[in-house]
Amino acid sequence: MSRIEINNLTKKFGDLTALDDVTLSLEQGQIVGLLGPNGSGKTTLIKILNGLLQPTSGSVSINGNAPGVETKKVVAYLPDRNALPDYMTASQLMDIYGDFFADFDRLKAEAMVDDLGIDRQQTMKKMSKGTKEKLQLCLVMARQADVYLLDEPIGGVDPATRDYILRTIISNYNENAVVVISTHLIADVESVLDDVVFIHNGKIVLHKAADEIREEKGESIDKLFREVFKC
Amino acid sequence: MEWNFRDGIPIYTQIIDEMTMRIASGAYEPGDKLPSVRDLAVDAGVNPNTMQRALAELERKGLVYSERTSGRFVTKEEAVLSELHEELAKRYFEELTEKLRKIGMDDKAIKTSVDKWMKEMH
Amino acid sequence: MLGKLLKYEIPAMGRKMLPLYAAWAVTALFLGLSTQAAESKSEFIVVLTGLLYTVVTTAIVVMTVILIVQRYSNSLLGDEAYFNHVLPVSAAEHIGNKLISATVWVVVTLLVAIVTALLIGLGAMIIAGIHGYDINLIDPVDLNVWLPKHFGLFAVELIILLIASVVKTVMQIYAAITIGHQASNHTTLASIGAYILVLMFEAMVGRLFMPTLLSLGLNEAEGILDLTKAFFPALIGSFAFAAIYFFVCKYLMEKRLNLA
Repeated sequence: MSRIEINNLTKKFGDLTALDDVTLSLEQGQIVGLLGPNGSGKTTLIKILNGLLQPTSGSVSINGNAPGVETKKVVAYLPDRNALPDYMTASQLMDIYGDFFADFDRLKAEAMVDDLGIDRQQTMKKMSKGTKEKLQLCLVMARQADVYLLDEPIGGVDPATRDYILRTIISNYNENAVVVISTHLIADVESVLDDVVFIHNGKIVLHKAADEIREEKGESIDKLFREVFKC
Repeated sequence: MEWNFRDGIPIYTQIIDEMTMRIASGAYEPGDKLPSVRDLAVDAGVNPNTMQRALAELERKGLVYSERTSGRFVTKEEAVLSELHEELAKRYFEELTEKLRKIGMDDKAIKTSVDKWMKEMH
Repeated sequence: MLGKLLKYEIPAMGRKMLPLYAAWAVTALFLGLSTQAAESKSEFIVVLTGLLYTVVTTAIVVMTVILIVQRYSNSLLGDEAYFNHVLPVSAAEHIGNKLISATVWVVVTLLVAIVTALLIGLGAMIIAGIHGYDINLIDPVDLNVWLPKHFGLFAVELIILLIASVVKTVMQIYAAITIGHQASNHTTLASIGAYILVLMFEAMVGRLFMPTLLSLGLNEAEGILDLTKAFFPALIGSFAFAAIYFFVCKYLMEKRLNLA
């Protein structure tokens, strides 16, 4: 079943066209890499799916619904910035998640927070940038959502944490969910991907199974990416 | 056990090769229960669907079999295992011979040096 | 979901307000103590404590307004919006949450203002008690002479109107901020511009309906405004404006939200 449907989606910011007639359908049971250089439209697309931006034209739907209260119940979103109130502790933030999301697994979140060495009683304000990112990811991945939209989940973390995050994504996998990972760090994520979507200047230039690409081209996704997006 | 993936080769074929090697070398013994798809995927750092696909291929080849409720097991059939050994031995031998021929050794020279190196490696 | 939002929003504002209230109460008490102490000492201290009390009072008024603006714009249109707007909560609930919290804290601030006034008196009485002299109170007045008839009803109506106007004013601010954020940049400037426009809109509509409102409340015989009669029209007026602003915010947040 297709979890995410994007039809002829265009988004303009003044004269700038951030997304140009994008049509894309993402099935459940997949981990999809939304890959493109900075400014290619990855974040814009994810923000539209979350209802944080409105399309200029075209439409998006999740489980058949336009972004709204219903879709927000089933979408777990990791934004590209720290969005959590900084006077709160990890423990209080877990309370909030538990209050608002029926699919939030508190024990799982606590286990992840402990694994990553985050002090549950420390306020966000006192955490390093990397720790904030980790905490945000723990909260998002501790949900049993239908759709995970992860905007640059491995951008600012150290290699050990990056491995932990990827392992978490893999072990969290379930066949009813779709996981979208937006990143430009392809080498790090390519082994976990089912499907690859290349986005460039707001257009989808490729949507294929990762192993199919390796088989046909005889090269890694990372290498293909460097060729496609050569400056 | 370490997993190492090389670029440009489908990951699922690399998983098949690695698992085949593990079975042939006895790292997984005949009749052993394999870890779950999820655990194997986490261990290898690969997509669970890819791992699933590779295991399905191993099953098709008869190297593993699944029991509906209890999971996947390494085959106990001697015939399959000896055939696997045969196949691997042939493949490695072919690779070796090919390389030695490339550096200009003829069959006789290859045979002589095989004997010689075998002794030294003991 | 509104209840859950309030559970976090009311303490979030209280976190900032409570320390200020404490400072306010302390300066009020100092002022009270110094009024009587000054009789034997210099007037300088009274001036100083009086000034301090005024400064803290002003700070609290300013802080309350800033907090109302910040809690709305940061949570629903700034970085924290990336968290708040992905909660399974409707725009109406988000706006209602902010409105209720803001109103609660404005009312609490007004109550604390009364408490500080009492504390000034308390401070004065403490000193008077210590020195054993009569406190300088104005002559006890005969309340019955000064209070109009139906004073109780009058007071209740006044309080309700006050709260209604707080609600309206808060929504006015929210509407201006939300409209201002429709601009792609210079949102603060745009919000101030929007606020001026909102005030103009209100003045215009007000001029249209005010005569009717006044005629309803005007006591022909005595020629003065009868609050009891003007009460309902005024209340409806406040809530009508508040409702218009609410729907403007709701519409923009549902259909036109474009977070930077």
